[in-house]
Amino acid sequence: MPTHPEQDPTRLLPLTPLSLAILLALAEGDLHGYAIIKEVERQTAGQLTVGTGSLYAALQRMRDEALIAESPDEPPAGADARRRYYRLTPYGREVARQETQRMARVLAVAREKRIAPEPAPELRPADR
Amino acid sequence: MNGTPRAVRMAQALLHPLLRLHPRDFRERNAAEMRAVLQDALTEAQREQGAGGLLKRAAREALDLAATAARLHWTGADYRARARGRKTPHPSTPRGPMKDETRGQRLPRTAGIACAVAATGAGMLYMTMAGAPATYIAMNGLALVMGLGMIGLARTAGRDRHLPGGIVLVLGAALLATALFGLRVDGAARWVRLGGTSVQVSLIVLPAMLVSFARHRDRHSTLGIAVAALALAVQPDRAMAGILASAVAVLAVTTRDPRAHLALAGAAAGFAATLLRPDTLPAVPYVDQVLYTSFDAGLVAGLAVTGGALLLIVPALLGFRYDPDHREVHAVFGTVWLGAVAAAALGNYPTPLVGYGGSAILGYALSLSLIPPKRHPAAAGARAGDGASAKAGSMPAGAAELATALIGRRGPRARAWTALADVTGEAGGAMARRSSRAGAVALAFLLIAGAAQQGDAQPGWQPAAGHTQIPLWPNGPPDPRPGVGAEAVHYAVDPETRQRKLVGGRPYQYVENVTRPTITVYPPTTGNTGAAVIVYPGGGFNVLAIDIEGTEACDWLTSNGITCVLLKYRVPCQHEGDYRECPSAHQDAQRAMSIVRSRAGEWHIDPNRIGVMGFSAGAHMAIMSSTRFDRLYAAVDEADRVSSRPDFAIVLYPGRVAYRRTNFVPNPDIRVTERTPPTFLVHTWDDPMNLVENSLIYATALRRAGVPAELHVYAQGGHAFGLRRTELSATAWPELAEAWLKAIGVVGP
Repeated sequence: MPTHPEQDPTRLLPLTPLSLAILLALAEGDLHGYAIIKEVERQTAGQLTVGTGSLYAALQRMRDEALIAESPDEPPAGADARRRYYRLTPYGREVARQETQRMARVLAVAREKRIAPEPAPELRPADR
Repeated sequence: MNGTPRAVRMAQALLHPLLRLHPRDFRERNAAEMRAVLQDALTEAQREQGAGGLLKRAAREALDLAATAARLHWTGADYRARARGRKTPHPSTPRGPMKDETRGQRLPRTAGIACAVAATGAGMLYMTMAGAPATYIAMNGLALVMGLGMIGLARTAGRDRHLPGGIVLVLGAALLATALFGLRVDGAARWVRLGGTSVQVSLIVLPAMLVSFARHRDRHSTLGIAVAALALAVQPDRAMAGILASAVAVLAVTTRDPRAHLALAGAAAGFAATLLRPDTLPAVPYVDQVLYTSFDAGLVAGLAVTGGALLLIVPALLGFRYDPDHREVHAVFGTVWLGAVAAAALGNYPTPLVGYGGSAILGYALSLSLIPPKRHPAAAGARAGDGASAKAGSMPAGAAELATALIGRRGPRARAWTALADVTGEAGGAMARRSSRAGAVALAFLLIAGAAQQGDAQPGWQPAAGHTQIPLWPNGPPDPRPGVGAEAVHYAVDPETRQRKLVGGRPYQYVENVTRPTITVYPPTTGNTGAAVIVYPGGGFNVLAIDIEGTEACDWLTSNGITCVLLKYRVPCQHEGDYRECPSAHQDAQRAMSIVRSRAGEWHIDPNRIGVMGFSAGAHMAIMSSTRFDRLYAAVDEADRVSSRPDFAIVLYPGRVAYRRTNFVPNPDIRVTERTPPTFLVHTWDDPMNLVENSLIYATALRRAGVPAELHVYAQGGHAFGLRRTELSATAWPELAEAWLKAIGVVGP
């Protein structure tokens, strides 16, 4: 897995909730600023609402940390020229993966201590 | 842009100046894109949730933009370097937070923006928790957005400007115009009507005038300050006059400019003039006295208000510490806002940035925008050597001059000041600076405390001629609380229109800050029936509605041959527990009954026909009197051996029996037994303050305990109508009460 030169992907962990949410929002494709706000709201079921100021402060920081980059592709025809599209870098993808693994380990410990519920058993058609 | 709705364009116009607050490199990189995102967000909010949604979204974005800007300035532009390699800082970024020139330059102003946002936010939090009307909260949010927009515009318009002297003079004249032609409330003309709300002009312009005057003094600005002092004396506004005098005094101490001394003479004279006239403006709920009452809404609300108020002087402290070239400006800024907080702590004055209005928010933003950026370190360094030593010597000398100016001749006190100044001057730079700074702050406090002291001369509430108040507690009340101000009587005022509130076409009064409770006996005006009633006025345990729910009840009782005893109990009280109980009020009620019963012979009263009658919070006291007969305080004298149980109770729109938020579980402190006296209850179905359930639940408890009772519930009438007759049938209740008193044998047929 290619990563940012000389950078250990676990170095930035743990990520802030907003950073992780932005990385996840970009996982399926490039998005512009307002689309990121909408996607973050959708994937957290409205729990995380992002203001414009916070978003751009985070985007700038994440760009400097090479987690994301501006999309080199031409914007779609008819799009607002002021809009830039952002994409996940391979390094950013790896950092997001490491962060979710870290969270999975936390969750496993919480289950062991009976703080988090066990995952619901999968329902097979016969059980219904 | 043509397709954009007008409301969205207006919101954008308010938000875009905020983008100017961000650090330049960030702004250049992102501002255009952020404008596009804001437009999307606002358009969608408007489309999906209408105007309310748009307003909410715009407010959220404004706070977020301001907070982000402050954060970016605070963390500095070197976050890039720290992100790349945390171990090795960027070579161009020296360590030590304030040494970095780009960062230190606007530090006080940036911190001020953060403080203004945080303090206003804290105020809005408090108002939400205290249940203030939504318009108050929205008004503060709007003022903050406007204020931040002003700062942004000031930065766009040009860097580092103070107001020209001519403008200071014009503003002073504007204050004078307000004093002469402004909105007059209870004898004070401080406001002008603007777009449906009233604006306190002095709070907006005076801080900016003072900061400008601290930066640059010429003939016009000196005259402008003197005119402002005159205006405040005419209005009159003792708190603002005190703030003006304190700030100019601090300036006179920290500079040796004769113009500052001239202005001080004017300011001191204006302040002295305000001391000659009483300042008796009523406290406005959710605005005045909030430093104290906010704690009633919960610890968080209280801390939000106090913390928010203290945040206001943080920029001055930072500026004083890190910007030695403009010490006097920061000292004046700090004095103005510390003075405003002190005025709020000592009198009926709005706590800045908290409470309804927003004048203070605008004033804070305006004065903040005039704070100078730090001089370039190279330029500052060139004169650092001689500058520091010269200043160290000059400040105590200024103190001596101030003393001379204040006392007018070189009396013994002036000599003491001079001696002190000499000693500290010789003691050297840092010491001298510190002591004169402390002296300036102490002086400011003295001036404002003097104003409050003067306020204590108010006589408080007095009964009509021919009646005397009898103190309840010969040796002072049990567990007395230090008063939050002088006892005073005011008319109830609508905070939005600043007009007197009316019930039945007439205004009504309330008493505040009662620390020495009394009873006043009103003998019957027609044939004495031998019955007596102790009246408990309402007012939420914060104030006493002394006429509409006090003396007017006595007029009715005495005209029916009943002796009336009006109880002036202690308010405001420390609310306790889930039902916001007020132990001091219940103590006063018990004590009053024991005194009246023990002196029944003297007052021609039958000791077995003494009832209680209470309105709202007082109705709750009547319920407590009817259900708690164990003594709530250590007995004081013989009177406390006599029973405090009333023989009957008239209970009008009571509260604190049960709350909707706790699913109407009855207050466990109310223990109805068969010893509870016969009770007459009145409530309205549409009472917005104390829900009708209070009376229904209490009546049910009376029924279960076998206590005779009569319950009247009216469809309309609201709350706190007292005995004033209107077209609503609820206001005819006194006739029913007269019939009931006959029916239970209290008065003859």
